Amino acid sequence: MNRHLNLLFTAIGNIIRNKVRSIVLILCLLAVLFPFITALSISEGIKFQSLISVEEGADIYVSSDYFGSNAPISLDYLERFRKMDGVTKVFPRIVGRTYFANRLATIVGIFPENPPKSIRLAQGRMFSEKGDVIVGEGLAKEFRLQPGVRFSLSINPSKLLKVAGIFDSDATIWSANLILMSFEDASEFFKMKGKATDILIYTRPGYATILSQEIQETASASNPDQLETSLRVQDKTLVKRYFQRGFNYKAGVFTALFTVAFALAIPALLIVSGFGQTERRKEIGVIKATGWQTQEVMEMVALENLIISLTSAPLAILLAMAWLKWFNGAFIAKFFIAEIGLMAPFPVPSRFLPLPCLFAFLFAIVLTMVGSLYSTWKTATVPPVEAMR
Amino acid sequence: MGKKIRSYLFFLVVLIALTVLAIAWDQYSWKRIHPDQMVAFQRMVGGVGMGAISSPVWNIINFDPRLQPIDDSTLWPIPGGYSYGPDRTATVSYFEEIPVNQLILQRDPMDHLKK
Repeated sequence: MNRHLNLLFTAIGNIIRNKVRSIVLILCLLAVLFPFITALSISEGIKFQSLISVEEGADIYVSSDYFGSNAPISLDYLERFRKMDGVTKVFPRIVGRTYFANRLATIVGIFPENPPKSIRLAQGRMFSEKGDVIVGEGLAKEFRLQPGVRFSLSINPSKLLKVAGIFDSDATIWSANLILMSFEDASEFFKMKGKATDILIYTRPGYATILSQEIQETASASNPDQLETSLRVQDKTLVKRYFQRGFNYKAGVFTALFTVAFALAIPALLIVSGFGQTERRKEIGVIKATGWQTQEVMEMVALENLIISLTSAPLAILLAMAWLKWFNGAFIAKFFIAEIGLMAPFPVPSRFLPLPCLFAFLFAIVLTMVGSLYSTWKTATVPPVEAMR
Repeated sequence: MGKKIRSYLFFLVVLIALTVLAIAWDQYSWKRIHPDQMVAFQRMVGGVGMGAISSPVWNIINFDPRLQPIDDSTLWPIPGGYSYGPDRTATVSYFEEIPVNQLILQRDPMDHLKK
């Protein structure tokens, strides 16, 4: 045990003695690990918000299917769905998009009775009168919107809207550029009376799959003379599949890019860790001449790598955390969340889970070991006189 | 053990302890602070938004595959060209169409007579 402890202290001594080499190595590891940890934590943050979106969403989403794409669905279906066994709640929803000046906004129209009492707004109140809207904090900040401001949009200039409230920035990234209004206002705004983007069905537990099959079969078996459009039915199981596939790192281009970067980092570190190689060769030659075994030299270098990794990985985690939490991921978040610009208009979601942090440490140790063990072994196995030359 | 080695070991222990505490604090803050508003918002709108993009730019499937599960970027007329969807860059989510079997094979009713 004492022998191992002595080797550990010698390794730390080496790190302190070769200051420049150690600092360069730690900086290289920080450059590799920082984007990796940042991306994983942003991914986990969005994944968390996305899961809430899936879990708190409806059990079944029904829309029309026009030429293979989703299309508006008639409100006539509402009563049909309400009568189905196992259905607890049915409501229509409108989700559309429009430009608010140069910023693309999501318009959502819901029934006024839907807003829960627990919803907290940064300013103002929930909509109560015709034309009232709640806007996202991103839009409000960019265009200096305050409760009471009236506006109309070119898609329907005759429809006058009034800002009643502003969403709190904590309410997910998707509320930042969102305009929420009543279902009636949204149908007038898009001039789509009697239609909804989709009908949301909430069911008793265990009914969703059976009901979605029933809706699909009923729609397929309807009389062809009635000219009823096909329906697209998506239940929670399917939505969960979207979620699982959407956040699977293997599918993301990010992973591919990082793998390339990682693959390039290994030879780069091989070169970097060869920084001061002549000095290292002499060192190994001297300690071998004083009676050290090759195994002991290897253990000392492995311990050096362990200490370097134990320094770099926590530093990268703390740096990523500070950057994301205090500076809201300025300049870097845009690489992982599309279309947000240099400064995100909402709090960039980031979650630092223990497992990705452990991966970061493992990455660091693999990189340093790959970069040094072979060259050390090669030096340690030659006669000391040759190594010291 | 020299003074410098002792100082470095102390620095390392403090660094690791700080990191563990920071991760624990982050876990706690997510559990305690954020979800209530997110749950209320998503419950109210019936679930809007899934991908790593804040508005439905490029393809709606990137924003929320429930709204439009069709990846129409694959239909764009850019022969041999680059597809400009944000999911083709380095975002952390990527939604793709889930194939649905819409094929129904039917036996020819005259088959048994032909035999």
